[in-house]
Amino acid sequence: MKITDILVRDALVLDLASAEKSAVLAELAGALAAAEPGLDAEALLQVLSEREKLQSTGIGDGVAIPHGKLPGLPRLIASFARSRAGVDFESIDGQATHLFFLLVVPEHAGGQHLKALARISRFLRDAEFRKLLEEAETPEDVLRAIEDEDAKF
Amino acid sequence: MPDLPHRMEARRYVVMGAGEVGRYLAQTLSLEGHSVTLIDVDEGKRVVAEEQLEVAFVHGNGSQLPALEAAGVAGCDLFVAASSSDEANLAASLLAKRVGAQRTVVRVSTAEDITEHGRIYEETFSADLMLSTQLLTTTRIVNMVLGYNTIDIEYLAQGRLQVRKTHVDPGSILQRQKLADVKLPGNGLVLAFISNERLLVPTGDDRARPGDDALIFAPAESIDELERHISGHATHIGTVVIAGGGSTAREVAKRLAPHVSQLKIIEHNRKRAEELAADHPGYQVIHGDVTDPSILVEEGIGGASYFVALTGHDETNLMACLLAQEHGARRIIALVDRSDTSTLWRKVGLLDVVSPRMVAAAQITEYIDNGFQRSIMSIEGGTARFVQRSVFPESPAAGATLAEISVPRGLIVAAILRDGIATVPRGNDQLVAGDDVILFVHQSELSTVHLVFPGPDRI
Repeated sequence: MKITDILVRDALVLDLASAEKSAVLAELAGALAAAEPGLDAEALLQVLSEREKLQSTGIGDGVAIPHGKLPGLPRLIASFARSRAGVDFESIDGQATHLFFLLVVPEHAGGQHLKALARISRFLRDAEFRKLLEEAETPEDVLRAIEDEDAKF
Repeated sequence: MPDLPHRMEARRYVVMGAGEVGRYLAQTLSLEGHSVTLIDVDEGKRVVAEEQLEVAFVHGNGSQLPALEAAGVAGCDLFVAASSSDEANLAASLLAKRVGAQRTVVRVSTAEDITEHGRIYEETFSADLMLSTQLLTTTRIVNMVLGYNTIDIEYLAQGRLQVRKTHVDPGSILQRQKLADVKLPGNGLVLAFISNERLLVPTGDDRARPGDDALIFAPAESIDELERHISGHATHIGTVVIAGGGSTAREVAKRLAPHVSQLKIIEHNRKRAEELAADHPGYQVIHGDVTDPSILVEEGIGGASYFVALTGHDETNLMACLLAQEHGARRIIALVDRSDTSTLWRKVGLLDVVSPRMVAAAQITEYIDNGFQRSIMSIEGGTARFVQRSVFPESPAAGATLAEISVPRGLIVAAILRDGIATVPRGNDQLVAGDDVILFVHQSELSTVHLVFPGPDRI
């Protein structure tokens, strides 16, 4: 599975306007819903918030991977967003979060869900990849970085 | 191996209970150059503490604040509750933490407190490590008889699961074959190979290198079989005669019985002997005096592979061992409470002597030398550890199979706890919401755990 294949390009946000966790989740859900016809932003936000209640998806190193299962979704989709200022996302290392990968999967995606999560988190463990995303000037820079990383594995 | 830096700096220890364990431990730590204070309710122990052991002494009750404060528990590196009262030790641990001890170790007497309820006690009484002299002693004796190399044991899921750190012998199948070719019995797993320099979470292509320890994992009822399989000492053991039918003897018998052809217990108390026989039809229980030569001869001591003296009285044990030696028992093991008599035992040729206080003290000093880390729960300074998590409906793991989850090397779903039953799963087993899982995680995969098994740590 390539991240490039599930990434919704039109939902990419280089500068998140929100500064607070729940607002960021809403902005992420809104951006994805705007790019994906048929996706209910409210329902998505609900799912993401429920998941965050269990434990923050902020996995440290300035990275968060909010995710959830959405009934009726035809396929796995992902989007990318960035906050230059950083967000208090209650991450496990207590540091501000700058890079967000949103992953939404159909209800019975099982193994696909895990594969996508594992792949995204593996990419983001690479400090150089994070740096490329942090310093990207244009959406094309982000896409290129992800394509290059996809090609490696 | 070079001395670790933390051993070089002087630390401050407070030990409650100037009994055999407390005194021995205080002396060991004091000789290493650390500051040690002993607390005991008996003012009479002052002389021993101050003059023989050369450590500070506080007269008082270690489970009450005045004594803890007088002993300088606030800010001490480690508080060890090793008095003869389990209750006092547990209460003292809780208080010591409140007063500001950095860590506490609690000694309890019986095995079940650790195997089944250890986690709850540790949480409730803020203990960083709990140990039972009985359990440690049992492990040592079982090692001697069965040829195991168990270094440490941790009990998970109320004792239904065990993790053991065990040394891999040159003859072991784990060194001779790669893991994929080793047929492990009874639901067991080899989670890691550990040496001084590294921790390896193995794949099928790996094998243990000379000098490695292995971390093995299985349900409690099958872990002995697993350890036997990999120990490289699968020799047949004939009759084992145990002198004494007390709680330690019962623990030892329980561990040995499945692996020896005959297990005999000689107990002098009639009621206790009858109870033992009723509880364990598989044992041959003899009511009699172990210091009576005719009983030993009658029970065929000359043909016994092992004679294990566990009466609870050093003098009785010594007498029984000398008789067993005289009548030709092949190997003799004795439990000796008073550590100062061990030289005497060696003089009469009884070399396999197990001292409860020495094994307890060894466990505590190992914990200290390990940088106050439990060797199994946090391996090699935290490079890998066990985590217990629940599976919630929102968890990405819900509905996934084991094969799908165990994609990254370094994350092993070691057990599933479902409906009160712990199982070691296989690749096509599926996780459902409501399950608890015990994960063995390399630190590089901790973020995967947070993503795939979100929720609070249950260990």
